[in-house]
Amino acid sequence: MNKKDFTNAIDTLLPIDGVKEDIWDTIQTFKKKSHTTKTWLSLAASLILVCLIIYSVPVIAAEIRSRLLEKMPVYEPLAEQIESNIFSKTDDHLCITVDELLSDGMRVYMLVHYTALDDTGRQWLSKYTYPHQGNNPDLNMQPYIEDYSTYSANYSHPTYEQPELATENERYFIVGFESSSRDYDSGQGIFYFPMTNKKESAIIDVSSNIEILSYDLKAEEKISELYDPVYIELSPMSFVVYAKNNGIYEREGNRVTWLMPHEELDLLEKTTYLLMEDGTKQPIYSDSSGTTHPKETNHYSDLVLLSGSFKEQNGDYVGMPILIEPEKVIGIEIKGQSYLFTE
Amino acid sequence: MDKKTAARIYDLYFNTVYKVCFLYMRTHADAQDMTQETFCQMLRRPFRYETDEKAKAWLIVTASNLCKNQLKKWWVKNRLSYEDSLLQTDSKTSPQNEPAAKNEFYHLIMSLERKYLIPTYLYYYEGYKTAEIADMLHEKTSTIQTRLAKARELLRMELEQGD
Repeated sequence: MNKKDFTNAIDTLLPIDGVKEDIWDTIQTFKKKSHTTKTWLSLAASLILVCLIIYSVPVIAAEIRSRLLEKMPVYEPLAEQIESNIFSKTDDHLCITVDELLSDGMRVYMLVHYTALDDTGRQWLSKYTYPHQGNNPDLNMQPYIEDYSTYSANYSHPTYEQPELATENERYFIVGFESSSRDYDSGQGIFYFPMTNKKESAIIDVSSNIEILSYDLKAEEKISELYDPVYIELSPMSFVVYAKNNGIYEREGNRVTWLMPHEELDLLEKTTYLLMEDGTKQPIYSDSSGTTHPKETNHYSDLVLLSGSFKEQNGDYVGMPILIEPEKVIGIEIKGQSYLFTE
Repeated sequence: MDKKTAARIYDLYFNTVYKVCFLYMRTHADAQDMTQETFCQMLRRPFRYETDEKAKAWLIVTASNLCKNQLKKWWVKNRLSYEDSLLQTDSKTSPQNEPAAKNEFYHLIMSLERKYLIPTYLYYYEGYKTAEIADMLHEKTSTIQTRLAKARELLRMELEQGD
């Protein structure tokens, strides 16, 4: 195919006659209507409704500077993947809103804010306390799991208040969860939140909008008698290496006995690198491994060998999260054995 | 922007915006909706006209952003495949009415993933430089260069397989 073939083919992408004129007429009408009082009233009514009903309309924050990114600037390149206006609920005194959400399915972060609607709400808001920053028993997000018998991945659910954004009527929190894999049920999270009279919960779609690359892992030689890496998932934020269990653990009913020596896990973590297309190696920091049940969502593997987010590393020092460009990763090296990616 | 300038910009760049929208959305109905929304944004928002070229670049960026946002919505994600969309295209605009060779190229091009197709369109059809495309699509220049190379490779591979 040459350039002329390409341009000729593109030239065929035109609408039927009259569409151009129709669209022009329509947008002229919109422009005129946008100045009418009726439209502004409708808009105001819509905004009020936002706090009165539960809804889940993902609108992407394209131009508005995200508060989530102000707090987590490392995710700036993923700005277009941040969804806004995720969820809202009121109990007449208080309105809770999930303003923004960024998720790759394993790392999920939401900006949550409370607004007092009256004195009762203001009083509740001024008195609301929690044990500490981090895992918050009242206000948190967890993977939504219907069947625990087929789920054994690990997760944490950090919640951090943003006191500098607080006013007399508002308090802001970053709520998230960090799972060791994506094989919880159907990409949903359960959001727990207190209101003035009771604790409530809601199911929120936390499936990823971020492209996840996945590759089969094949190597010429086995790196262990205990496990065999079979699959990797990579996003800009996180990775998970699935493997076949050949004796790393034993399962009897619900009881699992982990048999991998600590030394082996240390060695595994210290000798795992991403192989980049420019020939460099990037160390990866794994903060989790565990058992799984073979099913479609984990590629029928039964072991999460390594998983975590990408972080700054210097020797033994592990620092802040960083992003990678998954398309520039051509393979992974584990214990000196290269696994070059195949689709 | 005054109405006269808006009408002139609309007339000049309607086809460009429509093509960008079609390459993202893959159906004429969706491309029409997103084209309409793009020009609505031009009229509704504080858009400062400087030059025709800057207006064109602004329209391409806006159309791309609107389409990307639309494609992220779950009901769009789970709706139509490209093959389905071909069945729904209007007969007057369908590539099925085109000569066989052009039809073949059309199918080849539309089989490319959007991340390869859009830079290819902007580079080969609109004549933008890789740095300009990178700026428009919020990507690194090296990423655009890689995607163009990959698109070239994919188109060649497909043709060879077709032979």
